[in-house]
Amino acid sequence: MQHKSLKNTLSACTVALFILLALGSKVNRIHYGAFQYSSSKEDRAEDGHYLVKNDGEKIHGDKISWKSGLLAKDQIKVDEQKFKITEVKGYRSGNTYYIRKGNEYIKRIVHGPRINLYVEFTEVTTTSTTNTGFTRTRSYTRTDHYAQKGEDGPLLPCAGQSDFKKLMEDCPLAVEMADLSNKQMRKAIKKNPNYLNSIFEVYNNGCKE
Amino acid sequence: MKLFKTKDVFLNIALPVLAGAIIYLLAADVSPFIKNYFPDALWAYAFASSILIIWHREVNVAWLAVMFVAAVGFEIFQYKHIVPGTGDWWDIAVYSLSFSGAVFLNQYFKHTFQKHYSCNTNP
Repeated sequence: MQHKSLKNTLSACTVALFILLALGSKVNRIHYGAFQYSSSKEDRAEDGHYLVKNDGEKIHGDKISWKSGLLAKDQIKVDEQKFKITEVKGYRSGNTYYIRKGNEYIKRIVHGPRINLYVEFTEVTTTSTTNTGFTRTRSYTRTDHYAQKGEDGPLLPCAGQSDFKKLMEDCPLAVEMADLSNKQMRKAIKKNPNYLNSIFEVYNNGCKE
Repeated sequence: MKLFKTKDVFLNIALPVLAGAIIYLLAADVSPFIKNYFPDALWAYAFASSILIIWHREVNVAWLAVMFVAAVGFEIFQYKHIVPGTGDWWDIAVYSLSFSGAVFLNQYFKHTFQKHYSCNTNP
């Protein structure tokens, strides 16, 4: 009997551990639209269409396209020249720069000497069936944000104010701008749609507005 | 005999948790589908195996159901924005497969580690 009670206790602890881990896991949860995705800072950067190979070599052209997936060859093309995606670390298409993340490329929305910020868009479709047999389909765009310190640093998931503060802890002004409650942050973004971008821009500007 | 249980714990709990963490944190060049769902599948398998191992490889339907409802409930809470994250029906499908896989393989591991479990099934 005592043995069974121990097993029940251990089972309850396992379920509790599962719930704690699930609640404590890091979620990339900045909602769509919180950042400005066509940053004015990025617009002022150099223009053109080119690939940047892993060794830094630039391959210029007029048209860039890429494809990846389970049934597709992971490759990127500039005009008629083809490269493996793993050989190309990023590309510029007009005034937007994209960096490789896995076998895909994600958009840079803030560019600067100290920190870059990227966004990954994922189209998600979910279907559910009600008890009356009605099927409901819901589609939305999930946005995951990643910061990069320096031009070749790793992509770090950037999930919210606490990550912003940690990334820019050596800049009191950026930390102060990020250190708002959710309600205050919503208000700040409503007032200035570029507010979140501007935190990163302050950091890139030597911690000055 | 303790060695059998240690092997079972290592093979069916520690190894899947570790493999899931490695894929999640380190595998940059894998398909996003694998990176998003494979770690979840391994972790769900490890948790279902934990319950089976605690109960000496006897299928305790009640505790497995509690675990499964907790996992599915968490996704539903995410979907309803009660907890942070993105509710995803694929995750629920992955959990179902992992739980089924753990129960399906239970007989095999029970047989493999029989010596230990046959000596420890007293209530």
